[in-house]
Amino acid sequence: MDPEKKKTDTLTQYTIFDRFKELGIEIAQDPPATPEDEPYTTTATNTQTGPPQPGVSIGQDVETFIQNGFHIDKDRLNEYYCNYLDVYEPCTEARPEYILTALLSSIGSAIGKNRHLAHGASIIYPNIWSAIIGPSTSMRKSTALKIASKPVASYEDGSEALLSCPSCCRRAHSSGH
Amino acid sequence: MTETDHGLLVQDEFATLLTQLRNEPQMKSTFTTMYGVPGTICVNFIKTEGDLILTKPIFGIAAASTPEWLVHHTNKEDYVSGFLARFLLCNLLHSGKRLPYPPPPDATKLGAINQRFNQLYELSPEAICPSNDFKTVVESVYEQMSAIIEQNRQNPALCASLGRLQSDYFYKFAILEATLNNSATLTSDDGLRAAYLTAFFTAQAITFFEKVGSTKRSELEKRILSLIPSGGISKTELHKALGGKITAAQLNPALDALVKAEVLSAEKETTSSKPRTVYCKYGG
Repeated sequence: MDPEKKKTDTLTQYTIFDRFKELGIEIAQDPPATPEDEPYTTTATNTQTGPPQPGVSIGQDVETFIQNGFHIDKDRLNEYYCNYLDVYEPCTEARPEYILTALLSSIGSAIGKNRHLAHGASIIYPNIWSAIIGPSTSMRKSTALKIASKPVASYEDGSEALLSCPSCCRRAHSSGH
Repeated sequence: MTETDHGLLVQDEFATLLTQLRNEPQMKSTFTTMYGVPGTICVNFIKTEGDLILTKPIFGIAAASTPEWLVHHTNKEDYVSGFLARFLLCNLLHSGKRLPYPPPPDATKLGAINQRFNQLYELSPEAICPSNDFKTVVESVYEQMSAIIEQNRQNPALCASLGRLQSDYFYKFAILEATLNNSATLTSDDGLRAAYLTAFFTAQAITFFEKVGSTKRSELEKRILSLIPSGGISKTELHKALGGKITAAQLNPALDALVKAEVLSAEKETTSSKPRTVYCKYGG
C-alpha cells in the first residue's frame, strides 16, 4: 500500500471512527494485517480499524496513553530525553513522565530566544510552562522538579536563572541581572 | 530579567504561585501576556514598588501541585481565561516503584548530558525553518487536533488547553527537537516526535479537565446532565424529571451555569401557546 495513502486513511478513519463511536454505531473490523503491512506494526494499542499506520496518529496515541496509564514509549522520544531519563530513572521513584515534563521547561528556558520559529504573523519561542500534578509526597514531584532543573541550577551556579517566586522579577531587576 | 536573559521559574507548590499572582492585581494577566514573549511589558506592582518595564521577557515555569490544591486555588476564570491553558499538565498515578536506597546517577553519563545542556546556553540567535516534510506532518497534526477539539467543544477549558497544544506547544516541542539535534531545519522526524509529545499532553489535558469539570459541577448540575435525553428537554419536563421538588430559584442558576459552560444549549421553540426553551447536550 502507498504510504501516502495510508497517512490520509489514518486521518479519515480517525474522524469518522470517533463520530460513529459517539453515535453508538458499531464498526466492522478490517481484515487482519497482510504481510506487507507488518513493517508498520508499532507497540501502541491499535484502537482503530485496520492495521497501525505510519505517520501522525494523535488520536490513537491519546487513547493508548489513557489506557496504559500514561506510560511514555522512550523509542519515540529524542535521544537526549532518553539519555536524561536513563541517567535519572534508576535513581528515583519519580515517574519518568514527570521528569520529562519538567525537563521540557528546563531545556526551553536554556534555549531562550536563541531559537525561534516564524508562524504566520507571530514568532514562537520555546518557553514552556509545565505543572506536574499528583498526590502528596509519594509521587516524588519535587524530586522530579529538582532532577529536571538541575542543569539550569548548575549552569548558573544557583544564581538568578533559577527563579523561585514571582518576586524574582523585582530581584532580578534590582540586581541588574 | 533583561532582553538577553532567560530563566526558569521553579515552584514546588503551584498553588502558592497562583496565590502570589492573585495578591498583585493584574499580575495573572501580565503573566499570561508574558507567555507570548511580548516586545515590552509594564509590570505593575501596586502593593510594592511600582512599575517595571520589561523588554521581551522570556522564562520557563516548572511547577508541582497536588490535584486538590490546584482545584482549590483555581477558579473558573483561571480555566476559561487561558491562564491554565498555557501550562502543560502532567497528572499521574503512582507507578508502584519502590526505591528505599536510590543509587547515585552514573557520573559519566551525567557529565555527557550536562555538557550537552550547557551548550544550549551558548547558542547564537537563529531562526528555525520548517522543511516541506515537516509541513506535511503539521497538516496532519492540525487536522487531527482540530477533530479532537471539535469532539470536546462542550468543555471550553479543555478546548483552550487543546488549542494551545495545537497552535503553540507542538511547535515548541519541534523547536526543541531540532535544537537538540543541532539543526536549524525542522524535519518530519522532529514533527513526529513533537506530535507524540502533543498526544501525551492532549491525553493529560482530556483526563485532567474532565476530572476538574466534574468535581467543580454541583450535584444538581450533575443530576440535570444525567436526565437530559438526546432530543433535549424543556424546563417543565426537567422539573418533573427531577421529582417536582426543585424550586425555580435552584433550577435556573444550575441551567444557566451549564449553558454558560457550553455543556448545554438553550434553544427557544415557538409553540401554539407560549414559547418554550429546550435544553440539549452539545453533540447529543
